[in-house]
Amino acid sequence: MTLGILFALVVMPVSILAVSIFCYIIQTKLDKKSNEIMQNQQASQINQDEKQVGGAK
Amino acid sequence: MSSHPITIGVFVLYLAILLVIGFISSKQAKGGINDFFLAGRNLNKWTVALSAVSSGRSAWLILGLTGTAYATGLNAVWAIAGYITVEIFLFFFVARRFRKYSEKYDSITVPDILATRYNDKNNLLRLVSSLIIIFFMVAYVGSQVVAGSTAFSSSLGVSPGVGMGMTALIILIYVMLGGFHAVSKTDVLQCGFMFGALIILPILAIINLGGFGPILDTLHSQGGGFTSPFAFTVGAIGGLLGIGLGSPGNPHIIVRYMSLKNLKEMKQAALIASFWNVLMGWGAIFIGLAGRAMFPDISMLPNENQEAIFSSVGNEILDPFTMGILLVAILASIMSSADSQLLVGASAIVRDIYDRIIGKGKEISQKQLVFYSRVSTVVLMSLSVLLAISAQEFVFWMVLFAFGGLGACFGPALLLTFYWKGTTKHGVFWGMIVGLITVILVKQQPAWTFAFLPDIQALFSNILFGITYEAVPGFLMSLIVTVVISKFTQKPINADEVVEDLSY
Repeated sequence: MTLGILFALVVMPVSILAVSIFCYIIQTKLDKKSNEIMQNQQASQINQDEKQVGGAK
Repeated sequence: MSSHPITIGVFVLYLAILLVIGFISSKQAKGGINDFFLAGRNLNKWTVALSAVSSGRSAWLILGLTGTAYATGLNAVWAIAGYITVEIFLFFFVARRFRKYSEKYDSITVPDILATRYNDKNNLLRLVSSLIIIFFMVAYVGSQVVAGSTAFSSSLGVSPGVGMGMTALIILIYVMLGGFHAVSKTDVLQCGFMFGALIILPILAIINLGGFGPILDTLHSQGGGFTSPFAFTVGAIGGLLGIGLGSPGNPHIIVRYMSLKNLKEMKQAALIASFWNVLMGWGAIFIGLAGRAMFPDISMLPNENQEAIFSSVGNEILDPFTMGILLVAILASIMSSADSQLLVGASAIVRDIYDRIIGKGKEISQKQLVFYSRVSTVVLMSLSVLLAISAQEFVFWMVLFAFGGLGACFGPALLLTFYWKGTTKHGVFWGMIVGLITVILVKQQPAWTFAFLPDIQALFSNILFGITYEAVPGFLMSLIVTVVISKFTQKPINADEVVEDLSY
C-alpha cells in the first residue's frame, strides 16, 4: 500500500473523526465554563437582591 | 437497470411508508407555521443529526461522488474532506448560536434571522434574501426532480415524464401534509436506505472482489493519478475543498440546527452527524474504487457514464430484492434533499414575503398561514417541475451552482451575524449581492459583459492559485465586502448585547 492510499483512505477519515471528537471535548469544556459563569451571575444577582432587601429593612 | 417485480414491490412499499409518515405527521403540523416549518423546535438529537446530513447530500453523493471516485481514483477524497470539515465546525460551534438566536427572536427562516438582527424596518434584507432563497430552491428542487425521474424510469421502467411526475407528487403529498415533521422523519428513514447503499454495498463489493488487494492492483494499473490524492493541481484540490464553503449558507441544512429540542444535546448531535458524514463520504469513495476493479474500462458502463457505477456495482453483486433496496436508496437521497429544499422555499414565501412583508401589521391566524404554506409548496413544486422539463441535462450543474451560490450569499452574512458585533445591515446586503454576482460571473459569465469586464473566472483563478470553483471567490468576495462596508456604516444599537448573549 502506498503512502497516498494510506493517507486518503485511512489517515484522512480518521483525522476528521479525531477533529470531531476534539471539538466535542472543547464544546463540553465551553459548556461547563458558561454554566459556571451563569451560576456566578445568578449568585451575585441573589446577593445583590438580598442586600437591597436588607437595606430596605 | 432492472424492473424486477421485487424491485417494484420494494419501491411501492417505500413510497407507501412515505405517505403514511405524511398522514401521521399532518396531525402534528397543526400548531402553526413554527410547527410546520421547524417541527416546533421539538426534535431529538438523532433526528436533527441524520436529517441535517441527509438533506445536505442529495443524489450527488451516491451518483456523482461514486462516479468521481471511479473516474479519478483517490483524488475524489478532496471533494468530501472540505464539506465534512466545515460541517463539523458548523455543527459544533455555530449551530447552537442559530438555535439560541432563532428561539429568542422567534426566527424560523434565514431572512427572519437577518431581519431581526439588523432591525430591517424597510424589509430590504428580508425581501432580497427571500428572493435569492426562492430562486435557488426552485432550481434545486428542479434538479432533484430530474434525478428522481431517472431513478424511477430506470428501476420501474416508466417514462422519464412519468418518473418526474411521480417524484414530484410523492414529495409534494408528504411535505404538504406533515411539513417539517414529515420531512425530518422521512429523512431518518431515508438515512437507513443510504446506510445500506453507502456502507453495506462497498463492504459486499470488497468481499466479492476477494479483499482490498484486487482494488489496489487495479488502482496501480491505472497509473499514478489513481493512487495519489495529490495528482490534482493545487487549484483543483482547493476547488474541491471549497465545496465546503457552501454549507454555512444553505438554508435547508441550517434550519435543522434550529429545530433541536434541547440545546444541551447539540454537541452530541454534531458528533453523530460527523461520524455519519464520514461513513457516507468514504463509503461512496470505496464504491467508486471497487467499481474500478470490477469495470476497469468506462466502456463497460451503461452509456459510458461514470455515474452509472453505483448501480453497475449493485447489479453485479446483489440479488433482485437487495438491488431493489439499493435503487430505493438513490430515490431516498434525492427525496431527502428535495423535500427540505421545497419546505425552505415555501417558508420564504409564506413567513417572509406574505406574513412579514405583505401582511405587515396585520393579524393573520396560524391556521391560515399553515394553509398558505401548503399552497406555496404546490406552487414551488410546479415551478420546479417546469424548470426540470426545460433543463434536464444540467441537473448536477444546477446543484453545484445552487450550493455554491447560497454559500456565497448567506455563509459570510450568517457567520458574521453571530460572531462579529460590528456587522451592519448594509454590509450584509452588499455582501450578499456581490457574493451572488461573483458566483454567476465565475460560473458562467454572460458574453455581453466582456465588453466592459475582464474574464472573471480567469482573474480569480490567477489570484486564487488556480481555483475555479465559483463558491470560493464568491464566498471570499462576499466576506470582504460585508466587512468593509460594515466598517463604514452604523451597526444596530443592540449588536453588542445580542452577540455577547449568544456566546453563553
